Amino acid sequence: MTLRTRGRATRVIGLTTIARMRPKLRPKTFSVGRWRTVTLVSPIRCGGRLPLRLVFLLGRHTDLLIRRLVQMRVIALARWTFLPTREEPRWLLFETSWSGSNQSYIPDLALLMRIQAQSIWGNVRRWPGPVPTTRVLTWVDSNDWGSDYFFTGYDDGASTQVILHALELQGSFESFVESSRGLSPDLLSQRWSEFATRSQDLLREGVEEA
Amino acid sequence: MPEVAFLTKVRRGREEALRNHLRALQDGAGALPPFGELAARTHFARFVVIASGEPHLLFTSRFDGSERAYLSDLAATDEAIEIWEYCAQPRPLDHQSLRAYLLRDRSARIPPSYVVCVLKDTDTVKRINGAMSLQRKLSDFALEAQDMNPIDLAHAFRQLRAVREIAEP
Repeated sequence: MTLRTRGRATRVIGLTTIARMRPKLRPKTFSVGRWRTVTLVSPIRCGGRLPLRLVFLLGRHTDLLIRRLVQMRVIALARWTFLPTREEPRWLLFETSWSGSNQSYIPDLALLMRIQAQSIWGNVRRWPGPVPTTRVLTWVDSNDWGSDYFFTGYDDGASTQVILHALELQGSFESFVESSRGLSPDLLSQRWSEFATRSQDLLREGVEEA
Repeated sequence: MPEVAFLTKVRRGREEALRNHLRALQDGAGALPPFGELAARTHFARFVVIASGEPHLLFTSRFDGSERAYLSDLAATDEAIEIWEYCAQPRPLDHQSLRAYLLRDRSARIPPSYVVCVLKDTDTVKRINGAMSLQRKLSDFALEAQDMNPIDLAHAFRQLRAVREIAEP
């Protein structure tokens, strides 16, 4: 089937049968180390493309909608893509990489960001709604293609929270070293003690990771 | 931080073999980690076969450095040739044609509509792994320093590699 995407390119694609191809052979909520991945391919409901485009447009211009998601320090990356087909239904691809348990992350996400989740997933077919979250988990499980091969250059033990904390510690440590130049041993010892106390949560995580 | 996404049709009847091949890579069936140096500058990358009747290979990656260099290096790996061998494009398949396909065939690309990433563009894989290593070393030092007198602590602190790198770049 020859299709044209946004008038730019011609391609052969056959996604019309995705709906009846359940991803039954894939591992549920694929994981490598601490990282988990979801790859959802969902049919967009009739008339759902325009609202989705508006939501994504808004999302590209403000982080207001995702502030709570970022604060959770669980999700590292999420990406929404319209698959290139002119047939109905159109398809929305959603990929995410995160660290943690899907049993807590997905329900937390649906609960904390109920409006945001509804504004996106409310435009795809068979979305069960953000609550009850058990239905969301079932919906994710039945639509998730996972990953057949996933890789990352991060060292073992990395997770979204570990990475963000390590970067935070690195920044504050660099400032500390700069400010401690030329201090006497007594003063340096005192300042180090204050720094270690102030950063104890970040340092404790380093012990736990080791 | 560049990212790419490709959707390539899988050759008829090769879907299951491709899926098994990818999962064997995941399970570490090869003698060496796949993609070698390329993996070291990759934040996240995935290969997924996303259909069974008209199967497509989805490849997405978020990485450091230039897109051109990354895709060229990807095309130069034997692992990439082995994976795209199961696909309908490019044909004939070799390192050169795969490079041309990845770099120039815009029809294979699927640009994202919306991306959420908690990392900044300056947070490279190298910087992140360096920060995690520093976190471990400082944690160890914090424990050791508890029993040190100020003179020993000041000496040990200034001997830390991280301190020397910051103080004497």
